[in-house]
Amino acid sequence: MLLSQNFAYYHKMNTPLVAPPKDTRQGSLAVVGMGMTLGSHLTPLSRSHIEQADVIFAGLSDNIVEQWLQRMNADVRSLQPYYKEGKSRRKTYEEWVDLMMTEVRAGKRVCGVFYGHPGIFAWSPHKVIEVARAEGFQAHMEPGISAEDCLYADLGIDPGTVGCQHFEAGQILFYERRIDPSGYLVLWQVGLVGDRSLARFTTSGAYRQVLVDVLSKDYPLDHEIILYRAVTLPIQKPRIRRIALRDLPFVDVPTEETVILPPAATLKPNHEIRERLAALDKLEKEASVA
Amino acid sequence: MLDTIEMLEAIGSDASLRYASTVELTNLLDQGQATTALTAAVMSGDASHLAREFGDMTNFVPQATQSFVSSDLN
Repeated sequence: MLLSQNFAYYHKMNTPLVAPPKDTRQGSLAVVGMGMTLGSHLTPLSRSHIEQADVIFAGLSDNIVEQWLQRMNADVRSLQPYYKEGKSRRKTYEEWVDLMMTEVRAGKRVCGVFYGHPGIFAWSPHKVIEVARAEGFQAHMEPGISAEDCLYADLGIDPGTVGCQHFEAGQILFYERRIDPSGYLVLWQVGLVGDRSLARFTTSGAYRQVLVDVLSKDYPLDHEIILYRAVTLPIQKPRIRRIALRDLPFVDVPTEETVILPPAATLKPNHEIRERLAALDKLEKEASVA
Repeated sequence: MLDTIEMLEAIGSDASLRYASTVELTNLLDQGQATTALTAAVMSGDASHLAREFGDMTNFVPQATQSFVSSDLN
């Protein structure tokens, strides 16, 4: 009610909307998604966060997109230099949280900008919001168009048809997960699968062979799989390669590529549950007649 | 005259440009006096040509450690 009154007031006065003044002493945090493709995916609200922030921290997948971001705010600090071969990425991600929180505690309006959706396969954005809120700061996340979203559009997959499981590829190796080959299986970060140190930028085909061996329990080796990379620049086309599962160890798989395994089995009807539901239908129908 | 990043932003946000043919887009870039790097990238479909203009920097992309659950890392 109050909001509509405010809008009516502004409309009547023919005055542009002006945001209320911020408490400049209180730091705040917005973590936003840049989307995947330069010029195509950044939402108006995320852009506004970027333009209004005092300082930006950028975790982006493309150097040119980062340079585009630099035009939206004078203080853009790249998170790329914190990666180092031989250094655990867990340490890197913790440093990112510390960097952002240092500025929030200093009273700045901080904006963390991450490629795609900032909350998908990204540890630091969730963690920094958790830390900021625990310390009493205003903090929230704005969604973005993710690589997963692009994948569905570019490959014509609807995850709702037969279901879709997503894992970081390493988790399939390190833990006993239950894979359902009657749905889609999407594996992320296959390019460094099997890296137990979290400190390597890539792993060899021998590690992907271990992945293939694990997957071969649920999929035939000649099963066609898809290697996919979303576009980051609007002059590119998505990279889509189709190979047999057995060939995965022998092709180059950059870390930004995702592996999709289409279903290898048809859905199996659950006759027991169907009969139970039919009995329920019958009971409800009889009750309504009575 | 737009620079390369402004042109990329324009292409990325305009439905006609985003899905224009290579020939159409190359002609438009020519009229807009695009850099040779951008024109070469569009003509070849290979964005690595832009390294001439922006430097050859490959960003590392992983931002998660879901390989291990946190209880295994602590």
